[in-house]
Amino acid sequence: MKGVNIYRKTLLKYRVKKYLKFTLITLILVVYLIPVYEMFVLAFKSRTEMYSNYFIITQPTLDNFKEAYEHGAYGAIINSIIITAGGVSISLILALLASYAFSRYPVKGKNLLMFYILSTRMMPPIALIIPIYIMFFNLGLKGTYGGLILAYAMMTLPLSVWMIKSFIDDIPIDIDQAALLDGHSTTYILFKIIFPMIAPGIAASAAFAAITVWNEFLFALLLSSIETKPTSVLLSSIRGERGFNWGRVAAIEVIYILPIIVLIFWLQKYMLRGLTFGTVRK
Amino acid sequence: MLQDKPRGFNKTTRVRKKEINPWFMILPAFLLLLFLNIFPLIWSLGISFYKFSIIIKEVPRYVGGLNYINILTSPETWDRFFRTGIYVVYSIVLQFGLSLLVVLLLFDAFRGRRVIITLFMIPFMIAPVASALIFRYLLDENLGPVNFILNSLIGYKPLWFSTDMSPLGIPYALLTVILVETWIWTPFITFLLFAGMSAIPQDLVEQSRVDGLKFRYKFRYVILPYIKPMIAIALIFRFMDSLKTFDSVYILTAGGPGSTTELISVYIYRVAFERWDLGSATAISYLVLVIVIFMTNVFMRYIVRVSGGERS
Repeated sequence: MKGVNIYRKTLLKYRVKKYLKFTLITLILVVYLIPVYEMFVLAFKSRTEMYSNYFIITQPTLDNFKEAYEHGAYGAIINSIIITAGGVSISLILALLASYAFSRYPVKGKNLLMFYILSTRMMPPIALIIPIYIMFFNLGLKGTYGGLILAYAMMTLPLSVWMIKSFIDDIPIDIDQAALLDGHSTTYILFKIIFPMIAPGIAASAAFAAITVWNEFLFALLLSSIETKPTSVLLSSIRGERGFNWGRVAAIEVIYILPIIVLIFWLQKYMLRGLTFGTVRK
Repeated sequence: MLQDKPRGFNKTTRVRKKEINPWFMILPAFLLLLFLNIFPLIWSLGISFYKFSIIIKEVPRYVGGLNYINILTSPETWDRFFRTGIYVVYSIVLQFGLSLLVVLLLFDAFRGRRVIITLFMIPFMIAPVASALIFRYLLDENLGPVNFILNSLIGYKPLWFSTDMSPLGIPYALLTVILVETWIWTPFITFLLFAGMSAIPQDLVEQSRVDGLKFRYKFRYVILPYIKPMIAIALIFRFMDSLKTFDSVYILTAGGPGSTTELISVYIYRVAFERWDLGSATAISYLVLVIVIFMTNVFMRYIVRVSGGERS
C-alpha cells in the first residue's frame, strides 16, 4: 500500500509540475506575441483612441484601412506581389535545374560551387548592394521591376538550390535510371517524374523564398523608385513623416504580415529544412 | 546518401541525345550568380581603390590603398566595430538564454507543444521593418504603452531612444535595438533547439524520469548531447546575421542618436549613401567580408565535425 501511495504522490507531483510548466510557457507566449497583437489592435482603432486603452478596442473601425488606401498603400502591396512572384519564379526554375544536376551527376567542382552558393547566404548584403547599385544605375535597371526581380532571384537562389536539392536527394536515383532506360529524356524525368514527387517540397521552398523577398528591405530601399517601391519601403518612409497616424501604419502592417502568419502554419513541417537550408532533415 | 558513392549516371547508361549535359542545367543559375554576385564582389574590390564624388555621374579618381589606410587609421571605424561587437555579444547571450528557458519548459511532451512553437515563430517570420515600427509605437517615450505600464508600476519612464545609460551598462538606444533584435531572432534559435530536443528518444526521457534524475544531470546527459549540433548551427547563423543587421536598426533609430546605434551595416550604408563615399564604404565592406569568410570557415569546420559525429 505504501508503494502505491508514493507512486501516486510522484505522479501527482509530476502532473502539477507539468501544468505549471504549461501555464508558464503559455504566459511567456502571450507576452511575447503582444507586439503582433498590438498591430492588429491599432489597425482597427479610431484616431481618438490611439493613445488610450492600449490593448483593447471599444469602437472598431475600418478608417485606417481606408486611409492606407488613400495614401497608396495598395500600390505598394501590388509592387511587393509583382517583385516577389517574379524573383521567386526565376530563382525556383534556375534552382530546380541546378539542384537536379547537383543531386544526380558527379559534376566537376560541384562541392566548391555548392559551398560558394551557400556562402552567399552568409555575405552581408550591404557589401553586395554597393556594386550592384552602381551597376544597376549604369545599366538603367535601378528603379525598375526587372532589376529588383533579378536581385531577389539571386538573393533567394542559395536557399532554393540547397533546399530543392535536399528534396531531390531524398528520392532514390534508381527511379531516374529506370526512366532513362525506358528512353525518357532528362527534361521528361525532371518535370514529369521528379517534379510531381517533390511538389510539396518545392512549394515549401517557394514559400520560404517568397517570405525572404516579401520581407526584404535594404535592396528594396536602394533599388526601387517611387513607382516600384514595395511595402517595406513604404512603411519605412512613413516613419519620417511628421505626426503620422499609427493606425494607418498598423493597417498596412496587418495586410503586410497576414499572409505570412497564414503561411507559417502550413510551413510547420518544412520549417527545419527551411531554416537550415536543407542541411538538417527530419 | 547519393553523394557517398559516385553512382550518378555513368557513360555506359547514358542514352545519347536524350540526356542533357548537367552543366547546361547548372549554367543558368551560375550565370545569375556570376552577374549579380561574383562579378559585383570582384568589381567592388576595384571600387574600393577609387574616390567617388558626390555626383555619381562624375568619373571617380584612383587613389590606390588610401581608402584602406583611412579606414584602418580612423577611430570612427573601430568604434563602429566595437559597437557591433557589444551588440553581437549582448544579443547572442540574451537570445540563447531565452531560448533555452523556453525549450526546457517545452521538454515534457504535452499536447499543443507544436502549436506553441509555431505561434512562437511569428515574430521571426514577419518583416523586421514591421516589427521595428510597432516597437517604435510600443516604446514611445511619452505616449507608448510600455512606458505607461512601467510608470504605473515603478514610477519611472526610461527614454528608450536616448543615449542615457541603461542598467545593463549600455545606452538605452543600443539596448532597445538589442531587445528588438532579440524579440525577432529568439524564435529561430528556440526552433532549432526544439528540433534537436525532439530527436531525444522518448524511452530515454521516460527512463530519466523513472530514475528520478536530477535536473542538472538530465540536462547534461540527456538533453545537451541532442541539442549540441543545433546550438552550433544556431550560433553560426546568429553570428553571421548579427553582423548583417540593418532593417530593424534603420527603422528604430537609423543609427542615432549621434552614432550610438550605428552598427557596422548601418555605418556602411551611411558612408555609402549619405556621404556618397562609395570607395571607403566598399573598403569597409571588404573588411567585414574577410571577417565573415574567416568566421564561416572556422565555424563550418566545427559544424562538419559536430554534425558528422552525430550522424554516424
